[in-house]
Amino acid sequence: MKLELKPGDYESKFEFPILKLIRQKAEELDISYCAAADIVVPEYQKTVRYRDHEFEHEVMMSNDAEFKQAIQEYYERKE
Amino acid sequence: MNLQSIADRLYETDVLVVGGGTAGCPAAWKAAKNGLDVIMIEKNHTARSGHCAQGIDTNLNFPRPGVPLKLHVADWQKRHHMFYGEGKFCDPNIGWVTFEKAYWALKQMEDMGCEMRWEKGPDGKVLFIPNMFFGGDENQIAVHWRNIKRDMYNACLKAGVKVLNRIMLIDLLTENGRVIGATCYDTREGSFIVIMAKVVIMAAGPLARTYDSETPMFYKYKYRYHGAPGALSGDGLAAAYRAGAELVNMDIGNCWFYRLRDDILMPIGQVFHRDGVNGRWTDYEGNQYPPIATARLYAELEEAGKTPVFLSQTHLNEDYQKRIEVATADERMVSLKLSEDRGFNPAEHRYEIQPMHLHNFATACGIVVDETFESNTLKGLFAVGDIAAALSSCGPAVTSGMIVGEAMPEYIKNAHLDKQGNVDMNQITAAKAIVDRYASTPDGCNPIELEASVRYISTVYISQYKQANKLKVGQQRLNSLRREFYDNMDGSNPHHLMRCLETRNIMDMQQVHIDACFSRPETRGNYTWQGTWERDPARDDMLTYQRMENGKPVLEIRHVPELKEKYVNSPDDAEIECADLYWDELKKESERK
Repeated sequence: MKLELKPGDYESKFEFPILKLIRQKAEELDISYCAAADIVVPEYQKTVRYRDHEFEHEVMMSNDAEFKQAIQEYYERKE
Repeated sequence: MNLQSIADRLYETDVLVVGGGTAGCPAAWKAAKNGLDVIMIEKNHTARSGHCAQGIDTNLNFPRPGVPLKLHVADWQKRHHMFYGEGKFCDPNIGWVTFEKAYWALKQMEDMGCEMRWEKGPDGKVLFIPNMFFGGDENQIAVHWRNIKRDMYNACLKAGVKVLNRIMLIDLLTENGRVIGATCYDTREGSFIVIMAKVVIMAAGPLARTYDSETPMFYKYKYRYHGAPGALSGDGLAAAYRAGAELVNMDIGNCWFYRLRDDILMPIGQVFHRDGVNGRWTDYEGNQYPPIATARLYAELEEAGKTPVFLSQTHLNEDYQKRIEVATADERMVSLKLSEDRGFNPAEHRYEIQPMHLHNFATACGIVVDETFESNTLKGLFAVGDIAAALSSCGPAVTSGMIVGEAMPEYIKNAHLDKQGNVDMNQITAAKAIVDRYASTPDGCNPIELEASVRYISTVYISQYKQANKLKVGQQRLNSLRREFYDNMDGSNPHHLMRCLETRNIMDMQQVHIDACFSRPETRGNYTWQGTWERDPARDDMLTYQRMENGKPVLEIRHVPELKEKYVNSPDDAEIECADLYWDELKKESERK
């Protein structure tokens, strides 16, 4: 199985969502990035499904299945 | 000359804790709770320093119900094979104590104010999960991403620990084979400090700055302290060694890689713990290969013209990326900016597998201690956490710290340490002379550049694939650097002077490392001796011990200790302290499966 690779797109620049929010907040309140980060980071953190046990387990299992399939395909291809 | 005139600040205390990390804080807190005067020094700031300062998501090393402790200990010893290869590398008695007291320490940790339960509240659910890195057993608990360091710091202050931040250890003070205090340096004000203590607890962490810093890999975001310049220069190890404490396994570096080619290593293909994602590797065209990369497979690919190979993070889910962003923005926002400027896109980026090298000393290496965590050669010196041989990670760090803190009042009473030791002024003037020398050498070598040169020697001439000739050249180069610059570094401001002291420690420890490697001209642990490719099975369970005796280095190769009779003969169903508070949950979880 091949990993899907996108061609490098150097025209549009990638922006980290969190940095974008920090910049916006800093401009909005006319404060430093560090001060803005103190406001933005805790809020942003709440959007991370970080401790969703069921979700993590599901992702892990699906990754695992996909991965095993990739290995199987590799050996089949070899034969 | 008296003590008052030479020291800018002078303290007297019962217990001095060196290092305010995940092991130091529990030790200081527990000792203070037990009514002792405690001073804790920390080179950084205690609220933000140490491996766990960016938060922990798991805490490990908890024995399972119904499984005899001796099996846990045997498994624990065996687990080190994963890092170090065949043989035993750790004292099983240390393993026994950390397992036996794991739940007790967890309880203490909760008392300290660290939330260790999955569900809120004192009776909330405890979530036991498999240790995916070592495989199988549910011997670790998942916790919400917690910055336990802030909790620990606050608990220490509340318990009355005198916390001295930005203070670095220079050397230990000894009297007749017993530690009686330490000389320290204020890295902000530049003042010279003497602390007299009845007991010193060393919790300064492992040594991670003898090799070049780690090759950046996506799964190391959480572990980036390995390469952080702000810590882990082996100050505790070097000071303990110079004072006469014994070190072990200093020939073995830490390396979490497979060998693909002599100069190319592949990280173990697993994003750590419960992230739920495997590391993947591909060739240039994006074809995936089995997760365990082997030298043979790599050779095949090379022959077929499909190298270089890449590690990919294109499959990582959005949450994983967000977590990295949060951790990075919290600590070094500028990294995000730089990454953007350089066109980095985490959803598309692949890392080329390139020459990598050892990066750390951990787990099996460190100060030799018995099960009370006291040094075997230097009385009054205790070592807890990563700096002690055989201990590693948050769980054992906290456990060892708590055990030592708890034992301190009794120890001080039994050892009749009712008054401070007599100071040998020569030791203090020697430490002061080091500081003064660096402070008055503005034309000296930049210590940061010198550190880079020293670490380069390790990477190029010691490394994982050892050879006598390479080691000899490494030794020659180190000798020439020592001759030129050991006493001749520029410490004209307090920060530079701290780096001078750190580089001095790194150079001392590199010498210990080279000596240890020379002593074992064989393939051993996770390194290969080129020319002698085979292991020597007769020496599999023999470790290299090093110490200073009367100013001379002494090296011995001895067998790793056996599990003591009292542990071997203990009943299989012996009660584990405080386990009841947590085991119920584990039992339910086991039944559910």
